[in-house]
Amino acid sequence: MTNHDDYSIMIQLFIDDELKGQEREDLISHLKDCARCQEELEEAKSFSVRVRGARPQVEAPPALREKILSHMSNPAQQATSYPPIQKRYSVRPYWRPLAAAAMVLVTVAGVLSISYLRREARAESFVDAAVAEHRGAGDGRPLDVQSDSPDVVATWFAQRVSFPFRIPNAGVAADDRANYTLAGGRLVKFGGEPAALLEFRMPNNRISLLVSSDKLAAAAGGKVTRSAGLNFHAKDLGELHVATWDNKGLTYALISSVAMGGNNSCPTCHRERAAAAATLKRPHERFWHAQPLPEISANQVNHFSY
Amino acid sequence: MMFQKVGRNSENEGFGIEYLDSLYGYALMLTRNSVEAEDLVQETYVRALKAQHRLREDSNIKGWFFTILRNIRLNEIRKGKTGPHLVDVDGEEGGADLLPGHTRNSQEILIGKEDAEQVQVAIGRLSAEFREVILLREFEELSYQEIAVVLNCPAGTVMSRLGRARAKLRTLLAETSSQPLSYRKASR
Repeated sequence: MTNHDDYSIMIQLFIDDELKGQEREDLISHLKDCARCQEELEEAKSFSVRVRGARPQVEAPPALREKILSHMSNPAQQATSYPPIQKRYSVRPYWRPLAAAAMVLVTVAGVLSISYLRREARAESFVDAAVAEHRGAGDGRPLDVQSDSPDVVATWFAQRVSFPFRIPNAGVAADDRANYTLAGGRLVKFGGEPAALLEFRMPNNRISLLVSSDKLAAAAGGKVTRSAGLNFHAKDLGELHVATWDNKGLTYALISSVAMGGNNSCPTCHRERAAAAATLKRPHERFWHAQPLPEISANQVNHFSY
Repeated sequence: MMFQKVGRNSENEGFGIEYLDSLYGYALMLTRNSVEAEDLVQETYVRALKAQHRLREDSNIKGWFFTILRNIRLNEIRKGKTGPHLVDVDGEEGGADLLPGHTRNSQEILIGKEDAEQVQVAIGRLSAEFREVILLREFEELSYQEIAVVLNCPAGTVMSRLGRARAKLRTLLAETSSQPLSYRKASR
């Protein structure tokens, strides 16, 4: 004889359309007379509806779709994309080691110089973009996502940018010492790619944080302060104060009219812990102590990762 | 003909392209990294295209794509080719608006969104094994047998794993519901 535990299992199988034949008939027949199982069926059904209703509407990036369709229309393309390169050496065999060493030195020097210049240029344009966005936001441009929840904002951006987006430190918005709150963010462009602009608000101020991949952006120049294993670059641009840093493949630019790193500037944004303040000696240490580290990603806050 | 099972979009667009969004979602769940997820999905289609002649007439194309994707991922993990798991993403609207029903006012929509968000957070707190089986069953609506093929395990294992995953999810949601909103937000 079937007991109620068996019926509980059968009810879930029934909802999943996995119950067939006689067992299905038995359950349907039993349900007509059993209020307890009817209730269980309704509860299980509504739970299933609730879970399915939480299905995130994930869309594959259009570029990925195009790539796949392009591959389908011409599958041989990939196989012929990487032709083997045959090199011919014109130097005599005994000169080859010296020539190779010289070539390596010249190449390394050239690459380093070019790399340095490119990095400087990337850093400059990233700061310019962050400042422009900060000023643009001041003109009342609306936010694409409005929330004071770091994980809501992080998950919103994670689906829209092509780099592994992370908000630096959930504590930025949730820290009980913070005098500012996360307002939300806006999807912007940097280097032709989507980038994330976060906005934080204080009673009489705004703070913007531009986030992009370090393949497109870089942190360089300014006064460098090392903290928690990261180099922070701080400088002033007119009335605005800028701090940039690289971390784990991302580059961040923090823009605010709030002075950063100066004497007694910390309390503007953070209520200090007495113990922490006592152990930190220099003003910039106090500032960087309150900086947004470590980072937050949705999996760190156990947000659903679909 | 095997292509009869592929679906209506295949004639116009491409082989199995109608599963792209689902596969991308699954890849995001497995990799937690949008860049890796894109690579994984692309590689899945490349392999599927090469192997489509092996499909039988009664093959379930969707499950087959999911199986290929998962196998590629497992091979990557074995070879140590995977990067750090950094990104979690979810949907824009939370899916609550897709519930069957009627026109809802903004208050109801807000409540629905919050509930969907709660469920997503709770699913995110499940183990990877439970999360995966919930996604395949509840979101992708694969049958137990199809899930068994994807996960390379018996259908009985799928059933018991799904039962345990749902029980855990219920517990997590009950815990969440009993907490005040401010605490729930702070604890995420």
